[in-house]
Amino acid sequence: MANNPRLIEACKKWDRLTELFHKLKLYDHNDYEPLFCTIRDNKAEVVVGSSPGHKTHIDLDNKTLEYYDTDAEVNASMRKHLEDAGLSCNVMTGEGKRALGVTCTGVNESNVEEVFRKLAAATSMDIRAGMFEARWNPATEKIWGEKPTDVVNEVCQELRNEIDEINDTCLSLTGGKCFDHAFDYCLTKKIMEREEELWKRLEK
Amino acid sequence: MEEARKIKFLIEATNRMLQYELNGRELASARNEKVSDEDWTLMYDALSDLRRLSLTLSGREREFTESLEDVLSGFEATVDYCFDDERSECKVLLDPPKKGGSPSPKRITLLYALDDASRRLFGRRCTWLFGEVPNEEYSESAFLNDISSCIHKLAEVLEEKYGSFNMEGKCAWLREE
Repeated sequence: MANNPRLIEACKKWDRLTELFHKLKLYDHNDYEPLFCTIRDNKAEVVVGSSPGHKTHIDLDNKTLEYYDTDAEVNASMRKHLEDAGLSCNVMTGEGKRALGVTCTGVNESNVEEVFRKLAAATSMDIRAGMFEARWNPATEKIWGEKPTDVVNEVCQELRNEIDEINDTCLSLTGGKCFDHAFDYCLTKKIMEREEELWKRLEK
Repeated sequence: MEEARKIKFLIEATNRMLQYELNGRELASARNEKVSDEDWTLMYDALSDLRRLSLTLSGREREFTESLEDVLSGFEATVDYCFDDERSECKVLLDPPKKGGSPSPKRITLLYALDDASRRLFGRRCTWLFGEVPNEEYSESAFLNDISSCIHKLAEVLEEKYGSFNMEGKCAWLREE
């Protein structure tokens, strides 16, 4: 059987978007470093983080996606992201309602690119609302290692200025409880929407 | 190891092995330069990688990788001893590693063992100069040349393991025949 070219193209979109998140310092380096995807025929296995088993299986034959994560809040956010891409999803739980991940149906050649793009959010989910400002605050940049470039600083400053707006969206989505991962969902969604514009500025 | 992680690891390990080979050959060709930090760093870095790599391999491939590890460990002391001497003057199969030293059975045995492991895996030895030049003439330069050649053979094994994949960025897909 031949590799599905749509799956390969979708992977490349994810590759590019994860690079953007990384440049914007939305990933911890340890989480970014292991990101990788292998494709065979109509199937893909995507490593989305540093924890063992933090990965996703996409199967275009069965039109399914399985996202594995033991953090219940991240699963809730990822479910929302994946449903935004047109999938029907359920959160998987084990004994004692232990979080196991998210399973979805409805993956097809038309939406697989958007589905892959959503996976870029899975790697950033360690960002907590409280950390958000600290991460992009020049006063604490020493904690994060290298000095961000002027463009990255400029984009980050813009996003910091939009915190209220992001919070408002978040509050309206969650009925008044903007828990950390809901905030992350809103932030990552916003970056995905602005991907091309942000790239143009970073590549100038 | 999960498939995606393993393939990524093998691709990166292969690239590093090819870089070690290149560095090793460059140092080997600088026969009249002094043994320096570069020799030590090359051996230390390659050794660290080989230790991780051997855990992902099995059978004869693992045996060969472990033999390479043993050789690098066994020759590390010669770099310390020869530090600041010309590579061509550092006679690594002698103890002490300089003209007039006695043959070092331990280091000679390690290189024989490496060539034996190579024969079992590839059907031929991986060194070129060991055994071809007298032990008392075999220098740091010759050693770096031989070890580079053996590292290259290992890179070929690794390439075969993931060579069925195309790669672009963080994406790899099965190569179609």
